[in-house]
Amino acid sequence: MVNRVITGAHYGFGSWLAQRVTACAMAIYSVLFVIMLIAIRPGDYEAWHGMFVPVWMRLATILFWLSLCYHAWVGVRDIIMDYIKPTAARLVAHGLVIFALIGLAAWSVQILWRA
Amino acid sequence: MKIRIQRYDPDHDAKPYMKEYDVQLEPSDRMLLDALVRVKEMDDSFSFRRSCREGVCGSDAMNINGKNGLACVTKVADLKEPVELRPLPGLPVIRDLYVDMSQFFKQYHSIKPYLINNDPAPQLERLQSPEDRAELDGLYECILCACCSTSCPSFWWNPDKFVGPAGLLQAYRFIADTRDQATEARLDDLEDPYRLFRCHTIMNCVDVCPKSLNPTKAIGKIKDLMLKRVV
Amino acid sequence: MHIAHADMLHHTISALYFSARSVWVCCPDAVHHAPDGASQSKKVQHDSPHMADNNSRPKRYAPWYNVSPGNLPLPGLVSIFHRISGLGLFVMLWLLLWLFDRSMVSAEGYDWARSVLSGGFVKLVMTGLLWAFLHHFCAGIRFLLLDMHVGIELAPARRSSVVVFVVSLLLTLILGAALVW
Repeated sequence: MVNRVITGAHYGFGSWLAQRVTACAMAIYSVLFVIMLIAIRPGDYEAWHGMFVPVWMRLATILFWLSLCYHAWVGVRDIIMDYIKPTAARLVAHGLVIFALIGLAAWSVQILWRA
Repeated sequence: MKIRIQRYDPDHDAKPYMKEYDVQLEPSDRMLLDALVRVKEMDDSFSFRRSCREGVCGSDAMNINGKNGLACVTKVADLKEPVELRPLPGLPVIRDLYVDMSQFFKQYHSIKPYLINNDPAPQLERLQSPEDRAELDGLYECILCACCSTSCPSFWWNPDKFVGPAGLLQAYRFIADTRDQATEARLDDLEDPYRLFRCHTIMNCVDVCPKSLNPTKAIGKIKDLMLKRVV
Repeated sequence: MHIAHADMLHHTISALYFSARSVWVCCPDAVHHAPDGASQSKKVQHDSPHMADNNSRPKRYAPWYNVSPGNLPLPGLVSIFHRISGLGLFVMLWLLLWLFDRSMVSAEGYDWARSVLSGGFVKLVMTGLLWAFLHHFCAGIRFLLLDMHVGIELAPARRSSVVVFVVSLLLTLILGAALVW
């Protein structure tokens, strides 16, 4: 089998849609967050930490980070698909990105729900 | 008029090089193709494709001052000198401005560019209403010159897997055709991380199309149909 | 135009087109299959200067890529910056989350994060990241509108690319002044 080109994985629409849905979620959060920052102007630890005490704010923030992880996965995968050609290297790169992003998601949960 | 052309002769050159020509234009030479014919008179080793000389056959697509276009419909007066001519980007060069288009046509053929209809053929023809026929406007006019696909970075990086704007425009041309019965299979075929979803709406294709067609819009409409069938 | 006529015209044109091709291109081309554009052409590039006559297939030189930013149309420029800014943000995410982590853990951590962010170089990096975020944000909204077929024609697509660059730079100035410096 010499260099046969295989396509037909029959996925793609789901990631494409998810990338857009997460983008909308992050856009809304970002705008609200910047407005909050400018309105509250947290000048010390109490005010800054206090912003993330209400449960709704923690939930919104964690949804932002999880959206970001999924969004980044689709985006970085697209980049890898363009520039990394050997299948083995691509598989390794995909794996590294997935683990890094799962780590990031877990870390953001830990930051927000630490006592 | 000064024209710099990328030359490459596989029998003599290890790699392409740029050669400059100073062309005397006659008053009747209005299009870039006329100037190229003058160059050919000066130096008959120079090779390029041409056929209809009026923007219908799509043979003389090339990279003109960094932008893909057809030499026969590009006005000399609109060009900045020296005019730099290179072969279409992203395709292997056979000689001078000739490129190997087999990858491009392979992708075009992969979308099954013909009507698929299993009903017995009627006596005369399969009829459409004027509204249904209007759906094909902006799609059927494509002349397959490859200006769009070879200006598309997604096609450069994955010419073997990404169908490319020209092929996808034609894919939608048959999806949009009410006489075609294979919409579902066509959508299934394009539901693929490479074949369709390499398009990131960069829109270089729309920028260069000599027929002012819009492959990005056609690709968007394919995505619309995919959305419609899952929600 | 009459339906069947339009379609027939198209097919006639295609037929003419293909016949023109087969006249102009030498015959071995027709049987040549390129299984992998990129790797194949690389090999050809390597072989071509010295390829012997025993290979009947015409030699091909590797394709060139029109990647100079000066050649990119404005919508293409927005797109490549969308990719670069996205990758930049992805790489810097861990640094940002680390600062967020320290600033949330205690008052000392918060003061430490503040002091890190007050450094001139860090402020420069943060401004760069802010620009990356805002470009990604504005270009992303433009892409979402394109997905909804808003501004999908050539002229509006060009105009909206200018808007993306201008608005993201202006917002970087305003928000940078308000939040970073």
